[in-house]
Amino acid sequence: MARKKALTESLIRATQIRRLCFFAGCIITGFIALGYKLVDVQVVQHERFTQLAKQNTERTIVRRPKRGDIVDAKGTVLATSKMVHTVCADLTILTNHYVTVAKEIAPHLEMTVPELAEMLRPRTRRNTNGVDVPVRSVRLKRRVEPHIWEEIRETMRGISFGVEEDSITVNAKAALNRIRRYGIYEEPQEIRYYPNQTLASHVLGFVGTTESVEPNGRVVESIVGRDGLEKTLDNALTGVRGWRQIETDIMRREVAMFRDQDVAPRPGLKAVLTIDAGVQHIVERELSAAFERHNPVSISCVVVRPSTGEIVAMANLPTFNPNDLGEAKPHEMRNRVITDQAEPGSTFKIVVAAAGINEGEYDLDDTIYCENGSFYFAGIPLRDAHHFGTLTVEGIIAHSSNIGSAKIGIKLGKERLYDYIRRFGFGERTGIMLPGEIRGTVHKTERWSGASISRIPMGHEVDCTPLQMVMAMAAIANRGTLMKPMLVDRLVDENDRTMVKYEPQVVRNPIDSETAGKIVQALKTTVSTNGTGLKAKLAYYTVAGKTGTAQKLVNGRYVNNKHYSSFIGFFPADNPELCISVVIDEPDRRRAGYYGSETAAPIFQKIAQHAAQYLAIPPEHIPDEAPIERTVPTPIAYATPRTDR
Amino acid sequence: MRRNKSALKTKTVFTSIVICTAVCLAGIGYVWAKREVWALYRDMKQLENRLEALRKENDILQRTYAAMSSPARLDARVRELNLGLSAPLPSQIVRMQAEPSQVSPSKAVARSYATNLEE
Repeated sequence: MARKKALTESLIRATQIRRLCFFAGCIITGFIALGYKLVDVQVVQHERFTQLAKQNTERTIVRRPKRGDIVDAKGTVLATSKMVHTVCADLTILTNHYVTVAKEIAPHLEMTVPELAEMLRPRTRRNTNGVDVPVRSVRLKRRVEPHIWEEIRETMRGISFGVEEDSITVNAKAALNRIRRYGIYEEPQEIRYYPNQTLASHVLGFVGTTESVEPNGRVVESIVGRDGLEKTLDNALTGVRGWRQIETDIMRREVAMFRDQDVAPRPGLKAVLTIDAGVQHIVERELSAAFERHNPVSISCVVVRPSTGEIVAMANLPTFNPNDLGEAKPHEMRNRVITDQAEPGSTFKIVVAAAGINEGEYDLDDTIYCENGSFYFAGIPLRDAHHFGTLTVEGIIAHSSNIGSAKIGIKLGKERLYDYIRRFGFGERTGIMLPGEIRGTVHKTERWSGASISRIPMGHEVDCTPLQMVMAMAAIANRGTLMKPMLVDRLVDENDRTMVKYEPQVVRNPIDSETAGKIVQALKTTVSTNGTGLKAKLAYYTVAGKTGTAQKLVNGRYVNNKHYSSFIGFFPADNPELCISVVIDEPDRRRAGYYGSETAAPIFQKIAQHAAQYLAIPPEHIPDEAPIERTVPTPIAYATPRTDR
Repeated sequence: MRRNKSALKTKTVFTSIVICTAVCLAGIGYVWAKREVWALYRDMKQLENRLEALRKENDILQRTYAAMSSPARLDARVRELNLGLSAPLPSQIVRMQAEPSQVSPSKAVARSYATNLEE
């Protein structure tokens, strides 16, 4: 019995031991498995899981800088940036609820419901491997204003899908909430905004977009200058990106406590121009009125400060609105002041006269026989508008005699004439801070024909831009010193600290001061009853200027019905504040004539008068009163309008 | 001997209580500090959001101001309201020039600088 009991106990113990061993084996195996997994996760696949964990929580947000503003000399904003939204939809989230969503948000996007529903309809596309994959996201509308986007968000938050949500499954309810939260989303988009619409559009230029990939792999659009100052100053205006490394919670909200790196973006620099928006507006207003009156192909105007070369206004018509580039035509977007060249006509006579006087060949009082209006040179006739006999050099400029100018040029000779043309900056770029400037055409003397020496002095056989011509005139106004045209005064940071200052630059002195004074005297006569530019005369200031009318070349021949009319002048003549050039390409001769004296000079007069009033340029004389002595401009000036307006 | 043993026990209990209290206080302090840090970061985030919203609003106002102060718009508005405003004629401007003795040193410097520039 005892033996049997001992055997039973022994069997039980053996069973227990086996069981114990079995369970111990299971536990050990489990631990080994866990240990293996632990090593696998923590050591072997450490990098992979680290990356996955980071992808789940860590985000790098690129903080884009604001593009710098462009302002005029008085701080008026000419170009700025604003954030808008590109509204997008995630079709994989919307699924078959797209019609409901379309009905709700179509009014906000100013689209019809069928049109929007078609865009939101779930569909597939064939990828590069030939496999049909569902289309995930579509862009519904660009340039959506922030308040419209807020309305869309509110609408989506409260959207009803026509089902009793308490009675549906948890998953179905979650799907509806996903539609509300993520079905429609936005991508931020920076756009350029020009508050003054067309004002100075050719100077400012316009921007385009370029796509870049952010560190998180997201493709974003950024703006880049395409023309005008937007292009030239693109690097300075763009600024430097910043970034922020964050961790997010399950709702994709930032957990600010775990913010790792936070580098603020550096905004682009602000460009302060020499342009004055007030004068620019005056110019564009007068050009617009003149465009109606003369119906030309184009009108251009440049206003320059002769002493510094600062461009105060630069305008072309036809023009365009950089806020609405889709409507702009290529010919409207061309800045003709720097991209179009033409034979300048009689305004070029100032170069020849200045050369003749500077070389000591002539003085203002010297006389030249003008052949009674008809002169043959190299077998080709040269004619004047009137039958002039003998004229002084001053008279030749004042009456714009082609024959007199040709005789000055002939006496100078090819080489000296060519040298002065180049000295005044023709045939080379002025260096203005705008893209697309051309050099103009000044042939070398070897390529001149026999008649060239008689044609070039009257502004034929030489092509220049309106800017080159006005800078040449400004050089005479500036006592013989040719300045480089300035458009940008300085670049400042967001705290208005000057980062870059542009100073006036002297190019060269094509003529001496005494010669320039004599030419100014002759140009003053031009704007008098003895000259061609009477219609440019101002009540309060003495004007010096020159008219120009050139026939245009069509298929190699000068035609009688197409002209290039211009007037370039400055005032006050002896101490010039502004030099203004008005150029009309093909004025309609049936409406108000085609001579520069009839078409461009009156426009100059209106622009000069209003600009002088706006800038409060001290008058030289008050009409019907003795001229007042002009003193140095005082630092304190108070404008007190009279009550008897 | 028994008294000594009791004294030792009291001392041990007291030390234990002090240590436990210190640990508890440290724990509570840690949690409080963590909570404060969370609250501060939450406030910071809210303030950042507020700052961003204000910046956006400021940008909108600046753009509105820029559009409203556009010369073309002002010109059109003056015509629309028939205010009769225009720039004064040169004859309507009275230019005042103070006597040199009345000019403050800074203005005298400015004037001399302006004169030099003009020359």
